[in-house]
This record gives sequence, structure tokens and C-alpha cells, in this order.
Amino acid sequence: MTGRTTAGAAYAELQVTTNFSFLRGASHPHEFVATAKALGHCAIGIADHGSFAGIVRAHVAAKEAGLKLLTGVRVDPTNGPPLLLYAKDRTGYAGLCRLISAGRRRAGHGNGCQVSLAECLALKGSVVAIALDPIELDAVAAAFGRDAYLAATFRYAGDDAAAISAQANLARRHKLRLVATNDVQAHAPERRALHDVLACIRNLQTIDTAGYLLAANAERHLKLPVEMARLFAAWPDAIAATAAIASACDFSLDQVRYDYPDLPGAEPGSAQATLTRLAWDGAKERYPAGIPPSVATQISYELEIVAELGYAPYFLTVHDIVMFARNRGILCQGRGSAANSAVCYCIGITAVDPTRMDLLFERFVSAARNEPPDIDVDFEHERREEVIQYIYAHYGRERAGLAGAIAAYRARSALRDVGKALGLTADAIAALSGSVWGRSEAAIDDTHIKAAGLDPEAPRLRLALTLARTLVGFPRHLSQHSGGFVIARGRLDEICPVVDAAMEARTILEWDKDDLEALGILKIDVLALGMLTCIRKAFDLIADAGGPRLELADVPAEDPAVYDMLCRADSIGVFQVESRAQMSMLPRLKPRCFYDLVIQVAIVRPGPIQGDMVHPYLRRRSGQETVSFPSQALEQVLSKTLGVPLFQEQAMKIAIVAAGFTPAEADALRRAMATFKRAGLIGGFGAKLVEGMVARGYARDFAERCFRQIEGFGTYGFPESHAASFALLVYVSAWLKCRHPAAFAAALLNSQPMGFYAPAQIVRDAQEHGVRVAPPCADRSLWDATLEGADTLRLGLRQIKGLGQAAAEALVAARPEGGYAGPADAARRAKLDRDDLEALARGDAFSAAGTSGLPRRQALWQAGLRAPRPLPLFDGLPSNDAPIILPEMALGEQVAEDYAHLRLSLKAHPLTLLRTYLLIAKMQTCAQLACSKNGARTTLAGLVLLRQRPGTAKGTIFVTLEDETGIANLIVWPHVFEAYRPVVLGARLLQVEGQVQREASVVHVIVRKLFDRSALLATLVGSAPVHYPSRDFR
Amino acid sequence: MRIGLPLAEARARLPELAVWPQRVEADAALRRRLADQALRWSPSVACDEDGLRLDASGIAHLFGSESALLADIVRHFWRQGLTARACIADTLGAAWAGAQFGPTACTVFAPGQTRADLAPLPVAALRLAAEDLAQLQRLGLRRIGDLYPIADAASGRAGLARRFGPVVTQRLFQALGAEAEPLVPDAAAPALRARLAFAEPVTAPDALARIVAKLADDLCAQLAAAQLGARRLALVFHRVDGLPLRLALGTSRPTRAPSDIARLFVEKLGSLDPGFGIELATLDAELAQSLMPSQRDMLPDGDPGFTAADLAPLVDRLANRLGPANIGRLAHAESHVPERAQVFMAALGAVPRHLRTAQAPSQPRPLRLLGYPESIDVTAELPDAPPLLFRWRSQLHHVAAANGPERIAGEWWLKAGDIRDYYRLEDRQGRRFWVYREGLWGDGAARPPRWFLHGLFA
Repeated sequence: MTGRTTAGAAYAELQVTTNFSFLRGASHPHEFVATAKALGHCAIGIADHGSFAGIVRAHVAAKEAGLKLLTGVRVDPTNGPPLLLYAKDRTGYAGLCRLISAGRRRAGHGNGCQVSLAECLALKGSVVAIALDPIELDAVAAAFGRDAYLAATFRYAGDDAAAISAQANLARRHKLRLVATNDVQAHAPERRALHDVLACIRNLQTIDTAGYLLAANAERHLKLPVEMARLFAAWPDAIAATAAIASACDFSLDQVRYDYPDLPGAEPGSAQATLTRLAWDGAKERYPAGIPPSVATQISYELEIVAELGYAPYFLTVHDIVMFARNRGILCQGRGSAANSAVCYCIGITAVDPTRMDLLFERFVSAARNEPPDIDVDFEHERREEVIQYIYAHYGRERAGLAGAIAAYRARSALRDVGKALGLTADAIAALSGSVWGRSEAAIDDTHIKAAGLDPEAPRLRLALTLARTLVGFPRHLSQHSGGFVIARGRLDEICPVVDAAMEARTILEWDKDDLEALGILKIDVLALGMLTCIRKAFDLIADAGGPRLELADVPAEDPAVYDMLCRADSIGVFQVESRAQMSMLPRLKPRCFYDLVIQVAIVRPGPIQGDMVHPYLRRRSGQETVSFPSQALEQVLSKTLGVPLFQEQAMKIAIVAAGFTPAEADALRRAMATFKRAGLIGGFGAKLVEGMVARGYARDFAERCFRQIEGFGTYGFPESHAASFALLVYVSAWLKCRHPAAFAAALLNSQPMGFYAPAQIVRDAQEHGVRVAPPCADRSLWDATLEGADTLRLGLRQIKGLGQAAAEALVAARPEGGYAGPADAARRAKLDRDDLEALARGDAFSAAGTSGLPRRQALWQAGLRAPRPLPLFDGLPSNDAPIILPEMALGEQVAEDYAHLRLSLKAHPLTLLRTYLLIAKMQTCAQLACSKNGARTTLAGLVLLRQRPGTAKGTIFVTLEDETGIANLIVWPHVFEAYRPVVLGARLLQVEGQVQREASVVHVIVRKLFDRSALLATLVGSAPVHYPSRDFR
Repeated sequence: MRIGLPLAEARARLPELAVWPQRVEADAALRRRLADQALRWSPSVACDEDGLRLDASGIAHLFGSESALLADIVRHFWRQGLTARACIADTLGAAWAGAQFGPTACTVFAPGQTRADLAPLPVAALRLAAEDLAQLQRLGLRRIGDLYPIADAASGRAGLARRFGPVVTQRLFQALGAEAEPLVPDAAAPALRARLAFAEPVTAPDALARIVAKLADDLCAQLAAAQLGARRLALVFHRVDGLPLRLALGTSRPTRAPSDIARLFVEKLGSLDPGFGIELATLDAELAQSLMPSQRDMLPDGDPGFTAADLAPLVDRLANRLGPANIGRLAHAESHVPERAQVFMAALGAVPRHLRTAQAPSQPRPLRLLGYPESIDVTAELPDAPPLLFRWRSQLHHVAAANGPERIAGEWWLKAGDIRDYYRLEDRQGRRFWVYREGLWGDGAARPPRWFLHGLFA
């Protein structure tokens, strides 16, 4: 038995369930394929439960291993036997795709695949059918004829010989052929434990209660052909049948041809001409002063390659979608590698002028790899759905679908499910997964377990950890890609099953983006970007206030005031550069031109930070280090970034120029950088790159440093083209903030939730930029924030917690001439219910309404009154209730109520009210801190705005405090954090002692001690608890 | 840490935090026990999540004064390690307010002074929902006294109700005594209760037995009227010195036979110390289940057969006499490993939830499974053919017919045993055996597979 021999009968396992039959199969498709190849099977048939989700991965693995793959599916018809259906040819495959599509859509999202026997029988002729149970065999045999089989499996259940004999007799009687299978659910017997755990998870049981749901033995794995022949020694035909089926099925996924859609209404074949015309017309529009020669050359070059590869329809499709958005007034902008194309710029897909950039068209489209280009377009996040529905409507649901996404187990979810299945207590699981701080791919090691107070040697725990480690990477369910559309010329559901997504009105493919790429299927990413919404709203507000009607391209370029503002790190609300890390980089990098912004966007990324490129770049930029290049060739590549590689394109060019990679190899390197899943792969390029550079005369240590830097991109590097697209939005949003601060702040508030800051900080920042901010008012506010004159921002009713948009709009619509007399008036006119009225009163929206306004408590009292309402006869008369005397509301209470119901207060900052006390306690303000010397000791207190624990910071916590004068950035080292954990995580008002750390104009406090002063906030209001919201750990 | 903090957040702040789940039933049981004790002060006791309520009308003088009564109550619980706060007042609402928010652990609101006494207390003392409290807070109405001007206004009660709804108004007026709120004692709380009070304390053991019989008669009549049968019973003797003596027992099936119930208790009476005498006895059916009236036997002394119903009283008696752990029965437990496919469990206990739906194995199993598999010598073809002959207890058996293998692998999550291949064998004399081979040929293990006999078929 030890010798692996293929002598004797040929055998192909035809009943394989992979882990893409979620929570059933216990091995990956590639594991099955590799094992079948190693055991000497002549082919392998993969048939997941009602799904093709794993078939592409199996196909790729089978091609690599040189094993024949039979493409099939297992269905459980409602009125017939479970069937394995294998495609004999392309027609059969198309039929299976449509069968799965219909069955899955009928069953509803996540409920399996519901088909009838008749639908399956209709596929006769192009499909082989293997019945798994002996029912309705006559129907199966009649339909499929020579292609009808009955499966028999040796299960080691005690009565196998009798059972298989019975099966053989039935087959003979009903004129089917017997075929041997092993009903495989794992590639090797070692997966039995995981297989049992999956059964527990699927049935919501623990291993101790699952009973007969678990397998009695580990026989459902791939076996040697000789072993199968031995088990079926009495039925040799059943073994021979497997090979017969394998040779009858002559279908491979390579036969799936994907055609780009034609432009609707255009003549087939005219696409290239149309694109050429559009490109040159666009170029003339983009460059009214005449097309620069370099751009003209580039356009001709690109059009040539596009023609050669036949990608014109693809460009036109994207163009069509972009035009739709433009016509609807939806802002959009291409991002990613498409910004490397002058044609994309000219036909309006991207907005980065090629003359401002050094294009690397190969990064986008290359003749060397016959692969579709990838165009990503961002749309306003609130209106992207319009674009998506346009695509569905325009191309039809049978031709357009969103790419799927396979949600896979991660360390935490795997541990949680396995832990539950093994009966670990909820506490133990929580403690363990709590130790996986953040979403981690890394396995959990023993120190983490000990830190969680558990014994890593406890047998159940040990088992759970081992099994969870295997489970990581297993697919869990199918969801939708964030916006990748696949559009085909023919029926999409004959290429891949199309199923319903969890979300209403969405249909998705069963394949994810890697699968699509492996088969060379084009996808267009229709993405959502909050900042585009914000910019469009700001443009609208400016135009409505009598200003010019602006578009992205109209924003005046290179305004020095904008750069001055950014150099001060005055960037709250600005796209990308508003985060704390970006803000502390701005004064050091001092951006003065557009390209500086490109670098700014790209440099504050985990890739460059881990690759240690930030400091060399800053030193060179500030002149502390001379800019030098190891060779003239590299000077060309790296001169823009002062000799420090920052972008993916540069890494590619280094490989080409300095190490002699071909462009195709360089692109393979780039791919290795882009997908962390293949993180191991990039190592293989290491030797090639380093040796290549050494051979060309570069110093070995320089070569190795280069490689390490490139490796840094492995997780998160930006391509330059992508950074440039983003930099454009950085500039536009910064320009808006600088030149139209009121409109910008209003637009930000109206686009919430988005960005990094809460409304309170946005409002405060606007006030600091000279904007007068007025509170929400029942008589003056709309749902959205609005402008009253050039520099006054009226907060919208959307700011009021608990008030619905419909109620707010009713209030606005029914607004009387002289304003509302009070809550009762509002209720009568706008038909508001008591909850709406109370929300308005809590938000103090009546204090300036009507002729004299209503104090907050009076409004609250009236808003809460119940029926009986005044009789219609007395409509409009003041109610004759005796006036209720309520205590005056102190300022502290007002502020607390504002925070509770508006999330901000325009009346005062809580700390202003506490300042007397804080002065006695000798605490500094944030404003004083900003003037402190490096190394000075400081004590200060503030509201906690934000707590962060970035993955790159090794356990350091960053806290942002706010007082009435400004904000303070705190750094809490891990040992301090551990000592003050409850304070750091629990305090709303935090007092800290520490040391000032100043670098240029960037000031941090290195915290030594922390105190929770939240109790002080309660003194503002008597005893009511107030919650000042902070945003944590994002 | 504060109440209402999510557990995950609490843990993030304090990773070494010890956590116990709340045991609602245990809390309720404790409160019930405290309520039993409170019967020493007042015959009319109610208990809920907030505490105990006693009707103290006309009893304070027994303890000297109202404050002495409160002191006695607080001291009584303090001796048991419990901190109590107590208040006596004109109304239930005011007493609740005083107990929760009063200035001291023993608060007496003098008769007729309720309005003034309540005024400084926070509105939370009115037993209000969190949402109502937040409303009052927002309006600046923090103390009960703040509500008086509004309640006294012309529209008065109606105005208050219009703003806050009926509950707030009701609570205020209840506390002030303007609206009645009767104390409903908990006596009705257990499903059913029989109760006997004695003018003279009872001490004689045989008198206790008679009391039990009387109580059982009374309770069973109530059970019959409700078509119920008791599954859990509690007998409580209240001693003159206030200490309750409690006996509890369970039955295997719902029952309402007075003689059975009385017998079960009488067997246990010997262990009781009546002290200076018993002044009150109660018998509660703490858990009762539906029991339909059964048809009387037509044959006067007939023995039509042995039914489960006949067995139940016997099991009850044996279990209550020998201890519930010593009378057991077998239940299915779903496991592929034969010796783990059945469990021995207490006859009276409920079947654990995970065994309630347990099925028998799908493959045939021998009637008699040996406690320990016995080693046998076997002649069989490799690798996994059934034995041709085997020797068991030094006797040779020639196999005439065989079935198998049924392969059962060890339960990996417990102690990974070897793989077993089971065979059903019939020898030439027609005797049928269940044997297995432990280990597989060629599995690389150091020792060769071994054979065992594990059971006998009928």
C-alpha cells in the first residue's frame, strides 16, 4: 500500500465537495487538485453544492498541475435524486450556469439553489448526470441515456457490500451505469477534525452535542486508484466508468470566451474609429491652446496599442458610463492606473493632465500581457446607486452584473466559530479574540493567549487554535465587490452564474475579481467617494449664493494661498490630508505645488513608512541631505522624488532600468506588490532584482535596500497615477476650504457621515476661519446646512438627533409667514408627531422661532403635551393652559443639552465653563501648549475627540484632546497605556501630564500620567450624565 | 466602570476583569427566601426586583416603635451579611422612595408628613422609567418637590398627565397618598399553596406528620381543580423564633396523589428540629405541570400489566430514600463510539437538553455490550476482510457469516483512540458476536492491529 502506483485501472474522483460549498467541504480546490494529481487520478471532477464559486480556482490549479478538470455542480432537485452534473461541452456549461443562476435566484440570497428535476433533465445531451440516490431513475435514464449514471460509494458503514450490490442491481434494472465515487469532502484524512467542526458550525452545535452530525470515520478523502479498485473489486465497471466520464467531458473554462460589449447604438466594429474621434476631439477641448506634441505622440501610441488589443469597446463603455454621470450632474473621476493614459484624460474618464505627470502607459495596458486593463471610477457616494442602476437598465441584467467577493475566515472569525464549536466559553473566546486587536491576518501565538489569561496547553484550546489556523482563508459566504461591474456582449449568465446579492436590486457574479482576472474578463470599478459628494454640494452652494458655477476643471490651479494653508496643517475636512498622521506631515513636507500633493498623498502610507522612505525624503527635501543618484539611468526614474522611490511605477522602472527586467516581468513584480495574499511571491523576485542590479554595477547594499523598499509596497503602496488622481481632489477640497470656507463646511456637514471629523470639529474649524455659524432653527433652517450671505452658515435640521428627514421637510414646507408660534403651531401646520416635536425642542430649534422665541424648557414642555389638542375653533389662539413655571436652564445645562442632541454647541465650549477650576488646578490650554518649548513639562485637560491605535505603531495609542482654545495631540506609549488602560479608554474628560515634543510646528505631548476628570462634566448640569462623543480606533 | 457598559468595552479597559453571568433565577430564589424570612415581622409580604414590601399596619407596637421595627429588620439582614435599607411611611410609594433615597438606612416618614418628607428626594424616587426621568431632568424638574407647583395648578393632575402621560402622574399621586395602592402579598406567587396556622406551637413529630397529610390533601385538591400535577414541592415550617425550616423534593412525573406526596415528606421529617414549636406550615407546588384526569381502573384490584405510571411512585420513593443520585436509568447519547452511545443518569433528573432528541445509532448494535472489550485471537485476510475464525475465552469459533467492516474512528476532541473496524459475525452454532480490530494494517503504527470482542447479539 505504501508504493504509489498508477498501474491497474484508471480512476477519476468525480464527487468532490470543496470549501466553496460553504461549511461543507474541508479543503481548498487547489488542495484537491494537487492531491488528485499526486495520487495518480486521471482527472478530477469538482461539483460544489449549487455553485461555481470555486471552479475558477480549481481550473487555475488544474492547469498548473496538468490534470484534467471536469466542471460540474451538485444540485438537489426538489422532486428527484441529488445529481452531479458535468458539462460535456460549452453548451452544457452555459446550461449549468443558467441552471445555477435560476436556482439560486429562486431560493433567495444565501439559501442555496432550488431547482426542479425537469430543469436538470432539460440539459440532456451536453451534460453527464450522476444520480446519488436511487429515485426517479427512469426519468434520469430516459433523459440522459448513455450519460446517465448512478453513484456508489464504499463508506465503511458496515453493510457496504450489500449496499453497493443493491445499487448495482438498481442501475441495471433502470438502465443506468454504475460509477464509483468516494463522496470526497476533504483532500486528506487529516482534515476530519476540521470537517467535524464545519458540521458543528453549520448546524449551530458544539462538538459535544453534534452527535451523529459528525462523521463516524475519516474515509471521505481522495484515495489511491488501486485502493478504489480494491474496494470496488466486485464492480470493475464502476471504476472504468469514471475514466469514461472523464473522456466524455471535453469542456474547459478556457473555452469561455468573453467579448467586450458593443457601444449601444453603434455599429459593430466601428469602436476603434469612434474612440479615435473622441480622443482627438477631447484633446482639442482639453488643450484649447493646441495639443502639446508630447501628448499627441502619446495619444497616437496609446490608440495604436488599443487597436492592436481590441480594447476600444471597453474604453467606450467606461466613457458611456462617465457621460451618463456627467449628464445627471454626478461628479466622477477616474482613479488608479487609468490615470496613466492620455486617452482616458482626453475622453474625460480621468482628470490628471498628462503634461503634469510622467505617464507609464504599460502600467495600464500592456501588449505583453494579454489582460484587460482596469479602470476604476469614483462617483459621489450618495448618488452612485443611480449609476449602478443605469448600468443594469442600459445593458440588462443578463449582460451586466457586479463582481462577487468571497468573504473568507480571518483569524478572529475563525477562532470565534471554532471556539464555539469546541464548546469554549464565550469568555475564553472573547478573551482570545480580544487579543487579536484589529483585523489581523497573523496567527495567534502563545504569548497572546497567556496575555489573555488562558493556558495555551489546555487541550481544547490547543485544538481550537490549530483548527482555527487551518480555517483561516476558508470562504464563508459570497458577497458583492465594492463596485466592480462585468459587462458582456452576450448573456452573462452563460459565462458565470449570476445570483442575487443580499442588497436589494443587485445581481452579482459568483466569481470574485481574482477569478475574473484569471479568465481575462473585464471589469469596471464603479466606486463611491464621499469627498466627491461634498465637492459637488459645495459647488452647488457657491452657485446658489450667487457665485460662479464651478466644475472640477474650473478650480483655479496652483493658488498659493491654498498651499500656505496646507503648510500650516490647516486641513480639517480636506480630502486625504486631514488625518492626524497627514497633518503632522504637512508642515514638514511643506507642499508648494501640485506634485508635492501627489507625494504627500503617497508618502503617509504604511508602505513607504515601513519601507523607511519618509525620513530620507524629508531630509533631502529640507536640504539636510544631498540628493544623489546611483546612476544616470536611475536619475531619470527617481529625480521627481529626490532619489527615494515612493511609487509603484518607480519600483517597476527601477527593475527595468537597473536590474534588466522586461516590462512584463516588472509588471509581475508590481502584481506581487499589490496583492498581499501572494506576499510570499515577492521574495522570488528578490534574488533576481538584487543580482540584476549588482551585475549592472550597482552596490549590493544599495540593491538590497532598493528591494526592501519595494517589499514595503507589498502591503500598501500607491501607484503614482492613483496618488495623482487623489491629489487633485486634495487640491480642490483645499481650495474650497481656503476660498469658500462657509460653503465647504456646509457641504461637509451635508455629506456626513464621511471623513475623519465630527460635525463639532467641522463647525469649530469653520468658525476659526471667520464663518459665522447659526444654530438650527424651526423658522430658518432647511434639512441641510445652508448659507445666509457669504459668510454665515445656518446649521440644518439634519443636525438634530432623532428628527427624520421627512418630518424636517414637512416643517420647512408648512412654514408660515411670521414663523412658528411654538411646538403646537408646528404640530398643527406640519402634521408633526410628538417625537418630532420633542426632537426639535431638544435641539433648541424654537428658541429663535416666531415673534419672541420660546425658552428651551418651555418649548420642551409644550412639545411633550399630549392630546387633546385645542379644538379647531380655537386654532391659532394661544392655549389657555396656565403658564407652567419651569426652572431656568443654566448655560452648562444648555451646552450639555446641545451636545446631547446636536452633537455640538454654539453657545460655549464645556471647558470654558470649567476653566476657572482648571486654572486653579494650574492646567494649560491647548493654545498655550502650541507655544511651549520642546521638552517642557505640561499639564492639560480636554475632551477626548479621538483615540487611535494604528497597526504600524506597535501598540502606541494616539489621543486627540480638545478644549476651548484648540486641540492637543497626545502620544501614549504602550507601557503608559497598560498602566492607565481604564482611564485612556473610559475618560471623556481627560487630564494628562507629560512632556512637550516639538518638531517644526508639529507639537505632541508624550504622556506620563492620565486622570479621568469626566466627573467634572456632571457638575455642569447637576447630576445628568452627558455623553460627549469621541471617535475611537478607526 | 458603570452599569450599562458593554462587556467588550469593560474588558478593553480592564482585561483582567472577572465576569459572572447574571443568574436571574438564583436572584429570584434568594429574594423569595428573604421574603419567607420577612414573614416574621408581618403576615403580608411582597417581593419584587427592588426589594421587600411589608404591610406594617398595627404591628410596630410589637417591636416598641416604628423605628425599632426598622432597626430590627436592618439588623436581622445585617447578621446574614446583607445590607438593607428600610423605610416606613404612609404609602407604599413614599416608603419605596425613602428606602431607596432616604437620608439614613432606617427612615421613618411621620404620618401626615409625606408631602414635606418627599419634597427633597430626587424624582427617581418615584419609581419611574428611564425615559420619563430623562424628560423630567431636561425640564429641570429634579426633586419631587419641583413637581408640586405643577400638580397644584388649576389643571393639576390633568395638566401633569397631559405632559407626562398617566404613569408619572400616578406614581406621584400614589406616593402622596392621593391615589390608593394596595399591597398585594406574594402568598399567591407559588403556583399553588396549602397553608396551616396554629394557635399553639406544635412540636410533636407525629403531629407534624398529620399536618403534612392535611397539607397534602389540601394541595392535591387544588392541583386536581387546576388539572395539574406537582413536579417540585416545598414544605416550610415557620418556627416560633422566625426560622423557616424548608424541605424540598422533586418527582419523576407530575403527581397529585396526596398519600404519595405525604409519604415522601414524612420520610424526611426526622431530620427536622422544631425547636420551641411550629406556628405556621405551608406546602407549595413550586413547579406544576399539566396532568389530565385519568380514568379510574375498572378492575378493583386487577393487575392489567406494568406501566410507566406504576413505576413512577416506586422510583420516587427509592430516589427520595436512597438519594436521587443512586437510582438511575439509561439514555441514548449520540456518539459513534459504542461505549459512549449511552449514558447512565439519575432517574428523577430531567434529561439534559442535548440528549433529549438523541437517537439510537443507525447501524445494528448488540443487545449486550461488554463493559470491557475482551481480547480475542483472530484469523483474517488482510487488510480488512472479516475474521474466518476466532478464539474467545479459550473456545474456538468458526465464522459462518460476516458483515462489515463498519469503521469508527476515535473522538479526536477527547482522547484520540485508534480506528476500529467492527464486524458482525455468526458462528456455526448460530451465535452472533460483535468484534472489532483496533488499528489498520499498514497504517505505520508500531504494533500490529489487535482484535477484541465487544458485544453479543441475542
